[in-house]
Amino acid sequence: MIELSVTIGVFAVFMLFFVSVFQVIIQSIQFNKQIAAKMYAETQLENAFAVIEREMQWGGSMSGNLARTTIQRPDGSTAALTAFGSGEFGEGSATATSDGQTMKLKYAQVEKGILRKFSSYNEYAALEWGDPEVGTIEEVFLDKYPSNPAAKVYFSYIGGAQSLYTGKEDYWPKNSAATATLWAFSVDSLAAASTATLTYWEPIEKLFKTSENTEATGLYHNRPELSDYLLTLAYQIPEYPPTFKGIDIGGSREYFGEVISKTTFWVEDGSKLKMSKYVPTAHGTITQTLFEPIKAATFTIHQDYVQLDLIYLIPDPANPGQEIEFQKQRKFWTLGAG
Amino acid sequence: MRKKGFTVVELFIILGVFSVLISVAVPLWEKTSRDLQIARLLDAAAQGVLYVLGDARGNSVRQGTYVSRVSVVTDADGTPIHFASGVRRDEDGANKFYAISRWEIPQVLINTLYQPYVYDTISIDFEPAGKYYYIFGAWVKEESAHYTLLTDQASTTIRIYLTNQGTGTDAPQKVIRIVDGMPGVID
Repeated sequence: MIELSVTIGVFAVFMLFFVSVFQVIIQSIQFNKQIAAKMYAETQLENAFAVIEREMQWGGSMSGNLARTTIQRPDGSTAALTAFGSGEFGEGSATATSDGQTMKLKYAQVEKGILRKFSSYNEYAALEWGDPEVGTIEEVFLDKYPSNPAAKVYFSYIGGAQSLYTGKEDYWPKNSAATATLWAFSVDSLAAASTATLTYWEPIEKLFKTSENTEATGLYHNRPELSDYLLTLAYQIPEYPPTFKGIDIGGSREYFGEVISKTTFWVEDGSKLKMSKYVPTAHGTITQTLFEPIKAATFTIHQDYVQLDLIYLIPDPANPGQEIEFQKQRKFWTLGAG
Repeated sequence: MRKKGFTVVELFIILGVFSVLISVAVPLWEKTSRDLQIARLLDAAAQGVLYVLGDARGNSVRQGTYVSRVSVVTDADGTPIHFASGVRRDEDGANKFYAISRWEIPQVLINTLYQPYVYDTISIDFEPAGKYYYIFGAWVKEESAHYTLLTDQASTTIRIYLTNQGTGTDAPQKVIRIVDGMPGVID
């Protein structure tokens, strides 16, 4: 009896030890999963914060001017750039929020990196869209825009099947490259319901095509013939005036060569932190999800910074279907332009 | 007089029970240990890929860049050496890829009881295969003559797995899906 009791006791202790070891292993695996999920979330959050920070660092750039900015058309008429006016932001303010769930930011900055004038366009023969008549690009645009006295088109490199370059002058595909797709602004590209001109250039065939549509165009399109990306954001400060007269800032001078952006961060359905960027010079909006899933997020605008309070969620490995909450707070400095 | 202590039969029974327990425990222990090693390696790989994707997205909304291509960079033998984001530029008529940020794809080492170590490599596949970019924070795929914007669930899966551990969906792997521009680990 004693031997049996001792054996059972030893066996029980062994089993207890055995089970405990596996419990520790299972808990370790679950904890590892939790740590990994938190690391993924933190990486994504830091990335989202970096994107916000990059936007915010421009906040205040020309903030006051943007509130007074008007568009000047070739005929001398002007129009308000309402998306940036004092009604929405307040003059001198770069940021705006109504309920803490949406935070808007406006800025303008000089952009030279991607803007290029097609200075040697006359070297290329051109073919109007659907018209076999061959002429120079300048002739095609003069024909297309007879009211445009300059008939000069400014655009940047847009991209193509084999060509994607940034930051240098040599944007243009060589003769060995595939078709490049180019963009040119229409006269009313700053107006809310603008028409726009999308152009195609085939360097191999020296073919220049022009098409127009009356739809508002953005940075991307669904229609097959318009399914290319627009990279042009603004006008280079030109030797030749662009097709619209320019932006009058502060009532004194015409101004070209600015990227003007209105960036909006918002909480969607209480579960996603999203961002959109409206670029009026291209009349286009891009939207992306910065982070999900979240439980809540609040923007609070202060004089010198914007504070984001956020509760994010990760799956709980120990309780399938449930989530673990973590809080995060970050300040984004606006250098007094809040 | 009855002798105290265990009989040989009892001893064998106990040893037998212990042997059975150990024969069950050791392979389980080895499998668990191996699975943990693989999980850690894949977690680290997913973290590296996420870092590159995040940096690509961040750069694509930065002045002067706007376009970031993400790609597996291979050496002359076709062996993957980096998961990188960068820009593609034309130099002397040839396209060259310049990495802005990159994660070095490591040779991994798995220790086991029976085998001292096993070398393996990490594979990173885009599904569907193709060339992918961030443009102004938007995730796009290069098509024959244009770029396709990938939004909602019509997106891309990036599958990360150990090359010699199988490639099926049951094989150990990490899956990253990019939805509305945001990469997220879903598996």
